[in-house]
Amino acid sequence: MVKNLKKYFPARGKWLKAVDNVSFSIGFGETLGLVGESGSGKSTLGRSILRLIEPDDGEVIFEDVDLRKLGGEELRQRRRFMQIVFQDPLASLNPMMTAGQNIEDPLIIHNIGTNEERRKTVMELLDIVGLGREIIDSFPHELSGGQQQRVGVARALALNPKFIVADEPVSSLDVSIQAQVVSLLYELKRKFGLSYLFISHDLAVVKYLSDRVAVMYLGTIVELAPKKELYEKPLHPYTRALLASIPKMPKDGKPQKRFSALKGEIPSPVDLPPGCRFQSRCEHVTEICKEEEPTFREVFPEHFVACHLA
Amino acid sequence: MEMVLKQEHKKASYWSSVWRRFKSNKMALAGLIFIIIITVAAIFTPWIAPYGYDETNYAHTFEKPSRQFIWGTDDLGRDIFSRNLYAMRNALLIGFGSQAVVVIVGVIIGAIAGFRGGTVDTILMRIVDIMYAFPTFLFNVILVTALGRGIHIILLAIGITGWAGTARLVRGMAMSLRNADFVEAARALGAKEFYIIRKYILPNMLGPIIVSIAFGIPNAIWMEAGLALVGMGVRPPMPSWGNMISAGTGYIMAFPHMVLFPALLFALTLLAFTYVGDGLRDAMSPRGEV
Amino acid sequence: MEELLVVNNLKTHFRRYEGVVKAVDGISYKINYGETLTIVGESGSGKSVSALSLLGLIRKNGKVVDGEAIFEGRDLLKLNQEELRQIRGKDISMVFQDPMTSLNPIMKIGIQIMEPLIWHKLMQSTEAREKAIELLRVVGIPDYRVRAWDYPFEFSGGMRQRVMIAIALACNPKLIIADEPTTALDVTVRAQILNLMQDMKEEFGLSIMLITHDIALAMNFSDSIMVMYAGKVSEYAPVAEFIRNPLHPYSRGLIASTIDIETEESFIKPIPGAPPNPLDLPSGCKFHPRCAYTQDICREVEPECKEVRDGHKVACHLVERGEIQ
Repeated sequence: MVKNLKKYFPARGKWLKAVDNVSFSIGFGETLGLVGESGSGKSTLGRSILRLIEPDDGEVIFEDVDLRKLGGEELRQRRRFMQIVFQDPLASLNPMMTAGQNIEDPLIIHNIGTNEERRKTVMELLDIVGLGREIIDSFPHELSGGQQQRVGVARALALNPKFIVADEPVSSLDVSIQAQVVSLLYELKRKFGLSYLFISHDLAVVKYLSDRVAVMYLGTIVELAPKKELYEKPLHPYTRALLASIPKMPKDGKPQKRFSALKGEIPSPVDLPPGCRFQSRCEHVTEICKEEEPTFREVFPEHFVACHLA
Repeated sequence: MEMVLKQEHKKASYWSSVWRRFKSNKMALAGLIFIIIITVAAIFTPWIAPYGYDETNYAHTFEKPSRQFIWGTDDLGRDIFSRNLYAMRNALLIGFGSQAVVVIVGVIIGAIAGFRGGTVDTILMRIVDIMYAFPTFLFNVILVTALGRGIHIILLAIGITGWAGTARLVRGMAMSLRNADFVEAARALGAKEFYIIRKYILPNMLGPIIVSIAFGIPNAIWMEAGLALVGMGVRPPMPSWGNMISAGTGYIMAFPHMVLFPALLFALTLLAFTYVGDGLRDAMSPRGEV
Repeated sequence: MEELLVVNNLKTHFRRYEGVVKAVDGISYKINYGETLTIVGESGSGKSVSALSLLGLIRKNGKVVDGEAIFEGRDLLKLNQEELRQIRGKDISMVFQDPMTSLNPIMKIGIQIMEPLIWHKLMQSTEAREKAIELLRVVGIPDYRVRAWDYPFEFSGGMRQRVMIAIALACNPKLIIADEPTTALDVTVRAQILNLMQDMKEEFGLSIMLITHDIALAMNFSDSIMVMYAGKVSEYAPVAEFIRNPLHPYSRGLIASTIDIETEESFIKPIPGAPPNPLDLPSGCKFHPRCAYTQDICREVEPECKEVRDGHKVACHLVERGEIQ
């Protein structure tokens, strides 16, 4: 596995430690799932990797090149290889351009191909994402949510990227459509060997698509492990709480009337107390948790946690 | 595989639903028809007008409306109807022309300020503030005095003094669009700044800009009339509603037709544009679907 | 008398330029005292509209065109606005989806809780004040005495939703309609709010009508479950029965396509296609274009929602015939 991305990243997004000292790597063809709730910084992280938000510190190394050191023009050229799919598919498409034009735009921007060649590519992309070719002249607001998101994916694929940041790509879609889009992403991953950073608050969806999963809380990664490890042997109390609080399909006709809930609320990322960020909600909090911030270390092979009690 | 259901119901794309709503507004529609008529008339004026605008006729001065002179003649025997046609032509020229200047200058400045933000924005907005603070009328008078009273000068002057409002409007829109997801997507695709402004920001600002033009035209015509009142309007013998009304007020008791017809046309034109502007604005911000 | 609300053949249609949208097209169900009914559906199913119809909260271009909704002996659909106003917030309360926008941002939350009490003339302001504070305690707001006089923006999403629940509880309603109350909340907070709602239900003996798109949640939370598709009921059953035996292909499809923690890799089966355009509904059974079992009759005749087992109603020709088990 070649290191595709390495990032070391203490960043302060405007007096809010939105992303605070985050490091991880993603290999070729690998999908890293990034789970977190609001305030975790996961969206900020995704955008910072692509420099859509400028990080304050740290490195983002993409194929041996530190993205942060690139100038405007070089960065623009590099963008071909890393793309993003957004949460709100309608908002991510230019409402004044047709679906076809939206998909074609990356090719125009980078001056690729002639008019016919581009049109042909757009048709192929529509096929790849499972859309009928006739929607090529439809405007985004005429399409359904699922179709819009597929257009977004097609556009992201137009430049043959190697890496895609998927920022909650299915959260705003209907359940039955979510499944379709997730399947699509899975297919594309296999067919084209793409690497994904798959950001979501939905642990189940993340599990389906990812190879490894990272859990974020208030700006740092609190646990990172290969998928099976994380879901079977979660170490961090927050991870455990997340897993427990999802309503599961009742087995054997036994619904659960009460749901395991974490106490308290996510504190504001401004003015964090010293020590572990999770202390205010942790059941097992001890003295050392309140004083010292736990280091992110490897506890089992490939399984990293930031917790004193692990 | 995705199944796309055929859309057999009535298609409702953005501009066609805008048009539909606009149509249902009777006054706006009437205004639009009126504007189309006068614009066509204005274009063909040299061929339609029965007389020249400065064709004097000392044998027929101050005549009431008759078969020979539909709306009568003025103090120099010139046909008022023909002069009105030319005045209308000039009014539309000034109206559309000045707004063209306003849009070009306002959009460029507003878009750059809104999209760039930061110091560029601050500087540009201070300039806008200064322009805004200037008494427009006075400024126009100064410009016309300095540069002459030709139509094109007047048109330009009105444009130059009037772009501030549009700039602010455009800047506001650019600022909110700047943060839109699809603009971020364009950036992620590697688009250059100017490309983004051209293809992503500007097309999405068309609506309010069109409305602002629709209101700006009557304003410009009004402004010319004001200039005419202080003797700074279009230079006679070339007629404008402003100078015709201004010249005619002296004779209003004896020969009201000299003022009546230009004033009427003037008022109707302004009204038409205003209704169209209102109609456009309402059509573009629907409240409740019917 | 066990039945609190009985709805029969409710139909709500909207007039749009492009045609008539039959948002709700003939649904029937009942809720007993102390029971939780969950209405499950995706966008376009009509689930929210059906609830709003009961309280006369439909937008101007919509109208309830048929049906009855008997609540404590009165037909809600026949009442005028004034009569409905007396019921809203007092006998039937609503909790909405977005806690960020459902509260009045410039009014202290304590006052917002007091409002229904005062409007319905149940109390004077001193008593109402005490009740509001008590309600905040009950819904679990820390420092409730002090925080009662804060503004909504000083609360987090989860807290605001608790406040919404407090407002809904203020006049001791018999029924609370909760429209996607947890969708906008973080996962860890969701569980808290759901537990709170269960607690309130038990403590005050309420009935709850929960509206959601999350079928796993529905199966865990309710006593009865009703699945809606394109404005109609596709399946309606007591929850234990539903869990054992979801019959309608759509219900099964929803379950199969819900990505659950336990789901194995290659195992999600998405339902092909998309929810239909309400202006261009398919003929016959509305679900047939997406159904794996479609037959001719499905394309031509619309199935009625019929009882196939004890209390278990399904709208599917093939289930009726026993071709699907």
